[in-house]
Amino acid sequence: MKLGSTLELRYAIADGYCIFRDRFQFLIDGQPVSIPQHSRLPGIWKQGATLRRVITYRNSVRLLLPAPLSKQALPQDDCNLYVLSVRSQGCADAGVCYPPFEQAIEVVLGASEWSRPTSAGNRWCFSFGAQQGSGFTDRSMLGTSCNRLLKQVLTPIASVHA
Amino acid sequence: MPKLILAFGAASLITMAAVALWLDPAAEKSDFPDRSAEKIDLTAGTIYSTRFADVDGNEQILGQWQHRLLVINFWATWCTPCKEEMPMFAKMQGKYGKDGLQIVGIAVDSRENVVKFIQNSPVGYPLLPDEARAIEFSKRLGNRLGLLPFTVAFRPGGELIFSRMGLIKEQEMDKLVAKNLPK
Repeated sequence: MKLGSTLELRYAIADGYCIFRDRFQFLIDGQPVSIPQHSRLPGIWKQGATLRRVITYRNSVRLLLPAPLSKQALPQDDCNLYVLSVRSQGCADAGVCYPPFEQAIEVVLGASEWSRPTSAGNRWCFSFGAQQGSGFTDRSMLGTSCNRLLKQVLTPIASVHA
Repeated sequence: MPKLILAFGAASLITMAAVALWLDPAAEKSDFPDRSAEKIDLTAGTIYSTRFADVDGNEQILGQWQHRLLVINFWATWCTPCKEEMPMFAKMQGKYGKDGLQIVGIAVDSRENVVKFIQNSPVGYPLLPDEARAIEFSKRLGNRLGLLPFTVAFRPGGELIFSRMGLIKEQEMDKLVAKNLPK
């Protein structure tokens, strides 16, 4: 898979919570993707009473990730989508931490660059969470023999028509 | 360079809101914000027959401590508050171990991480790492959101007398242990 484009991930982090910089993991179609060090915001140093210092993000964070944004960048099959999974982990100031959790997005691409303003059918969809659900409401757009589809079916909460 | 922007946050905020709802503002006011009355999904027999491997790979059955005051602390090396309270648990084990207290730390973490951790911070009580099973076990003991740290205490025989998500103060723990040690 060619990863010549950039995906910008923006996290909104609730007040009183933080996400650890070094706990982010990214996978595209199940394959780990490294995020360039320079695309990570510095974050805030945090040090516990007995701990080494760690870098945390608060309020918001913007991460730049190499990712395919066109059909041409995907393997040459009948799929026009890939699955981006983001694993993250953080804590609350109240003194609890939540386990690493994964958010998966199905990114559906048109025949051309999605970002080009056009009405020719560029389209992408995404869904949050990893709960098993009913899947995309418009499944026909995904083709019928797309072997790279995630085994888990995701419920979309938003779709965008470019 | 083409750029696609995806905004995360909704799921995170939902999760965090759930956390906020769970955190009990009255907890600080009580000596023991005791949730033992809450239904847990396991019988004493099931708890005591549960097994986890220790850091050396040796299987440990919780039932070996059924005649002691058993405090199970769920933690992880990625959990900052967990690590901050572990010296307190180590201190309690040293102080009351001879009188029947047994602290056990079940780690939601890999054996490798836990081994690395105790090289610098030995605790003096058993640590049982099991990244795959620990959270589920804690949920069945009442940790419904799967957050850490989470601590439960059982009198000899398996009666749940204490359950806490979040940090425990030393004074509080000392009082709990002193009151419930085996006769």
